[in-house]
Amino acid sequence: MATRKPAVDAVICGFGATGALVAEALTAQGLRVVALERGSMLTTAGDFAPAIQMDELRFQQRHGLMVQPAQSTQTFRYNSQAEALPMRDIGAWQIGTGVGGSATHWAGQAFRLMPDEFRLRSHLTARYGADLFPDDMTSQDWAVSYDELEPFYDRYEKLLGVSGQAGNLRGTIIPGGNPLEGPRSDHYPNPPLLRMKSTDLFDRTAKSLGLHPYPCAAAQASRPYTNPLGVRMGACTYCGFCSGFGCGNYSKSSPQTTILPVVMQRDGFELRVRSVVTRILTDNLGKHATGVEYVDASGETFEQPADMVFVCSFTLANSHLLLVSGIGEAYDPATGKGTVGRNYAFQLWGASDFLLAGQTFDPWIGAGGLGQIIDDYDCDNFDHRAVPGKPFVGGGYIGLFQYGNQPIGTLAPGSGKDAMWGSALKRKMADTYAGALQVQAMGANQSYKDCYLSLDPTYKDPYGRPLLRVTYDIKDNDRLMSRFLVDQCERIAKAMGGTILDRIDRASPFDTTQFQTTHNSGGTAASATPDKGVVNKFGQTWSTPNVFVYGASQFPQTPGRNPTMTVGATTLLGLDAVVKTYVKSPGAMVPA
Amino acid sequence: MFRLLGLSIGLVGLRPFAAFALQPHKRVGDTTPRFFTADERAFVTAAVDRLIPADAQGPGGVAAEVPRFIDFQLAGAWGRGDDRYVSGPVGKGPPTLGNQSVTSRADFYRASIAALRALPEGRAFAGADPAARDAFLTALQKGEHDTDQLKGSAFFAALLEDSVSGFLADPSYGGNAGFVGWALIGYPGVRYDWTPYLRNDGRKLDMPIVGTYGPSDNYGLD
Repeated sequence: MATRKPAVDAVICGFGATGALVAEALTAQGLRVVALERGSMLTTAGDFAPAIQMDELRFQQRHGLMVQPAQSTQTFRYNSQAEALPMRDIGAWQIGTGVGGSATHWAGQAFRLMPDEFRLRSHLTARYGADLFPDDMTSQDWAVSYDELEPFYDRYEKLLGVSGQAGNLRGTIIPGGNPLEGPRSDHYPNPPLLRMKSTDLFDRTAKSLGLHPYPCAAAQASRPYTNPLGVRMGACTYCGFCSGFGCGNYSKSSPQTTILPVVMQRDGFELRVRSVVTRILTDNLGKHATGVEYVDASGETFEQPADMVFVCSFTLANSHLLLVSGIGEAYDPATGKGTVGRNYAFQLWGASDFLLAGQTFDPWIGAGGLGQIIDDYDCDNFDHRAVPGKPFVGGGYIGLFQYGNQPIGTLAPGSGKDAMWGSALKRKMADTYAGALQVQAMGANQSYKDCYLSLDPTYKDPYGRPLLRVTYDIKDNDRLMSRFLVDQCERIAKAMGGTILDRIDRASPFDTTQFQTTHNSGGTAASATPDKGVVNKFGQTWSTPNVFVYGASQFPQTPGRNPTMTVGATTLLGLDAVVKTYVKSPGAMVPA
Repeated sequence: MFRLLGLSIGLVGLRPFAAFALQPHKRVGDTTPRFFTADERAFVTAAVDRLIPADAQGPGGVAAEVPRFIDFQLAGAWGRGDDRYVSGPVGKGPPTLGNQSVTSRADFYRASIAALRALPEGRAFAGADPAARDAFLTALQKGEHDTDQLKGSAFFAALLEDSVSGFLADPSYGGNAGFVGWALIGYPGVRYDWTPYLRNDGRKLDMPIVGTYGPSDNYGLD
């Protein structure tokens, strides 16, 4: 029998990027909020100090900040007829755990999406005709437009202290920025990060090819900064430990460095860590949530009653919690009915690795967002009919980042039967570490009828719940896109004077074992009508109006850009409506 | 005079520390085996000695104490596989769906070394000359010792992966002794603030290598 806790206005399931925004918005209104986080408390001073974090083996190689498969994993299969197998090790993606979630270990690449991205299907159909879309592709227009989202992008950039160069300020093109971006209402709060020899070389080469390079917007503060909540950040020191690590310098944006110092002090807020939400509880009719059930570190089960339930876990866990709780209708690819788990997609990251022999790029220096980018091959910035071979839906940015390359990950020997070893391996390590660069593409990924999330019939988690089952593979359209983007990467790499070392593009079968990105999306898509998604544009579930879902699980397909800023902006847009409308008059905010 | 005396005392006060720091480096460290038996340790050491050999380029994996690194790693949570999902039926699938085995890394090493040592050339491996060891490792890598009971090529891949990790990891894990791995590739170590070097543009850095615990490479292991 679960111990019943005192009722609160809102309970938050998962305390990462979106959970922190929910807590801030609701406690500012004087509401009583409890956040439940499955992982541990993590603080900048206590857990992210440089002497702790600057340790590649512990964090990047052994995944020190990630949820362990023993605690939470997925099963995977390539089609809906196959039996799925569990992902027993961390592989293609790395999901954070603990306070801050994946927003503590992200690289900090702070992209907005382009205006066309939000009307992907209608725009591309108008320009190229409906034939561009294969029959089984379920990619759709977003529930929000760029113009609706813009004020919230702006607010989130200021909250996170993003460093960048505006390229389009209210319609005026500004030299040095991205001329292809959507109009911005304001500058970035901080100037771009400093540049390096590697990013300068990319910049010069891209310009010589007629492309439009600009500095990546980075969630590393380029100077001391105080955000609108009064939280202070320090200037980035380019230590090279961003992606996979927590920042000990209060420079990389995370909930810890931007929101928690304020929220943790608010009256009416309580955080309970090592508390795993096992299901959302509903009333007899199943149309109204009454709270959640959770298990704490001692194994005791509790009931937390609440008037509002906010599902703020990682993308995959959002769908999982709805499915095990029976919120909404599970998607069935055979009938097309149901929406929970529909429109799952990943991110088709690709790259060209190359060497400029004899050169040294100081690869130990860097920051996760220190890069030069081109958008010439994202969205509809290129003619999709003019590509070699068959036209495809999708695109992505291409760029060169100076992340700070850690030795083991950079020089991993490979596991093939022809992997190099002995003196030859030593020579290769010595010759390539300092002179190797990578041009990468953040490829979009479309949604398909038979790529979806559901509950596995065989494998269980430590709480006896079915594991989430991922049914997914890379389709022809997306394979063509990946090949096209990596071809462009190689073209730029060669123009930079590089000798190609490796080519990474995506083909079927999808490799679950090689880390790519953590950019999973969909499963609880936001939609204009209830037949196309799980939540309305405010993140409110169509089925259960006091349950809200935030995160990249709202994306109807994966754009060719990193998700975090859009996750934050869509959450802020939703919370704006919750505070202004729902709290005063609970009920569906968009008529079904 | 007092000032000079004070200065003099100050210098005297510093001398023992300076003298200590200038002593030739002698690594003591904890080499007590945590996982390997003597035979296993000898086998792994003989393999590491060829996977990352000492050669004209500099010291190899044995001087870097990579066998100790692997021993420590296998003895810990990672070697035990505490983080892995090991529930449910063990199914079979393509390699792209990941390692389905529920055997821990440590047990995989133990079983693989035992199976290899059951072969005549495996038993002789630890004492064999470099050419013979290279021949044995090549056969192992190419799958010539793969059987239903022994995943020889997978074991080779694990040995190689763990050797490189031990050669390049922070020395606090027991490998990369004397920072020899980092010295080979020109990695200056972990430093908190690189801001003054953003426009270093590849010029040679004149600074000692530092790990997470500073310029000492055997912190916490003595």
